[in-house]
Amino acid sequence: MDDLSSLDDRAVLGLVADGDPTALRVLYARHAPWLGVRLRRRCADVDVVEEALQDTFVAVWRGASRFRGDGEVGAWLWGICIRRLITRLQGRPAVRQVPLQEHDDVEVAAEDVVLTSAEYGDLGDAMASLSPEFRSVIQATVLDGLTTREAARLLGIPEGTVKTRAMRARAQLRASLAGGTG
Amino acid sequence: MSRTWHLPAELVDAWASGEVGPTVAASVEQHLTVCPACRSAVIAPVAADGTLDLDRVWTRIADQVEAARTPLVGRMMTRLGMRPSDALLLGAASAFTASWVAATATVVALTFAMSVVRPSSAVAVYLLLAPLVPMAGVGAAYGREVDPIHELGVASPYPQLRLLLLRTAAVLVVSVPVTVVAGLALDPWWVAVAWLLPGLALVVVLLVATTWCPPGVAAWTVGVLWGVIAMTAHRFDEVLVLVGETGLAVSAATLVAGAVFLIAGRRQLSARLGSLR
Repeated sequence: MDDLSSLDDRAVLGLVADGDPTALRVLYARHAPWLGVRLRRRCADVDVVEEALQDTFVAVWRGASRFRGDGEVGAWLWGICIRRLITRLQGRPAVRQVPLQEHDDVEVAAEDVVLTSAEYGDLGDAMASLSPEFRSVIQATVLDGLTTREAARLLGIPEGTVKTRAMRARAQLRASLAGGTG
Repeated sequence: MSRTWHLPAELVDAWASGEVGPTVAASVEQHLTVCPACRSAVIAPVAADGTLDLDRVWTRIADQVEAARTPLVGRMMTRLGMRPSDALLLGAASAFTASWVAATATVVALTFAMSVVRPSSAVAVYLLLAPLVPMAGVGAAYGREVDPIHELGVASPYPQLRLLLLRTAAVLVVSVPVTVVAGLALDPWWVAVAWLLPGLALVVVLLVATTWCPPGVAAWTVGVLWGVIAMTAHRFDEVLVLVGETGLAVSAATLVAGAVFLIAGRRQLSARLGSLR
């Protein structure tokens, strides 16, 4: 494990592709925490999140050689993660929801002002003015870059509803950014 | 890949505990996707939070990864609906299949040789050895010396009795059919089937004996005991009594008594097996 810790993700992934279980362990230790949290923000059910993580790393074990060397390993892993989550959510309508949306009242340190100005600035205000239904659609389609079909599965609503909500949410965002009160 | 800007620790913590809104979260997540240093800053808060049991998830991943590498028998069992962890243990068990195969092959070879050279003794030799094959296999399947995944067994909580029975089943599935087929060449052909009851009784006796002593010692003791019985019967030219009415009745009684004992004392047996490892 010691000699692997100095290697970057691509090198470790190369070893996983060669069938080294220790390399998979290293990759898991590096990426499972942030991927887990990111999945948790999109699915309230911890069991489903853990299953999606499990599926992801088993898939990585089997298909590590399919990683094209030109991208970020982190982005590649997240792409697998979110799709595994969507697959796991199919047929479990009860747990489909996007949690943790109502925590906008956080105290923020002064040095974070650059980043948080996005939250409390025009865009943040505009997002906060959206209903949770609209916000979850914007998060899935715009911020997560999912297709309409994938967003529909993640949120547990029909594709048509995703399209309408995305359209209306965009219109509402545009109106509030243009100076309206939303 | 060096970056001069990193997420403030407070922001990482807030994001990890789900306390930031979607716009900031999106920025944080974009940065985490490309920044190894900030990713490692997430590890501690997630471990402290404890909602996600990442160790448990890893155990399941390791199971699946191992199961994919287990020999054919284990994979077939998984496909038949066995849990991957069980199949893994079976797979490890089949790593010392060599010893059972050797034992079974010995019985087959001796039976054939004897039926050609001295047909009168063939049945006796078969009845002496055949019931020992499954019993010896079970004894060998549980020893510390022969267990390639002993370390894994120590590290992972697994019901010991379940493990023992699982391996017993694996041994029986492999050794019994071969031994039966070998016996069909003998003169009273039904001997090939009749030994099954004494054979199973010996396995149960072994399992019961394992309550008191290590499996290796128990296997030897039971084996020698059976050898004495079989030789004595042969000396009086009554070897078929072993699988006659008396022999079968005694075997059946032993089998039932042993099974009752195992079921009643399964908790002690599990504890005993656990302390062995």
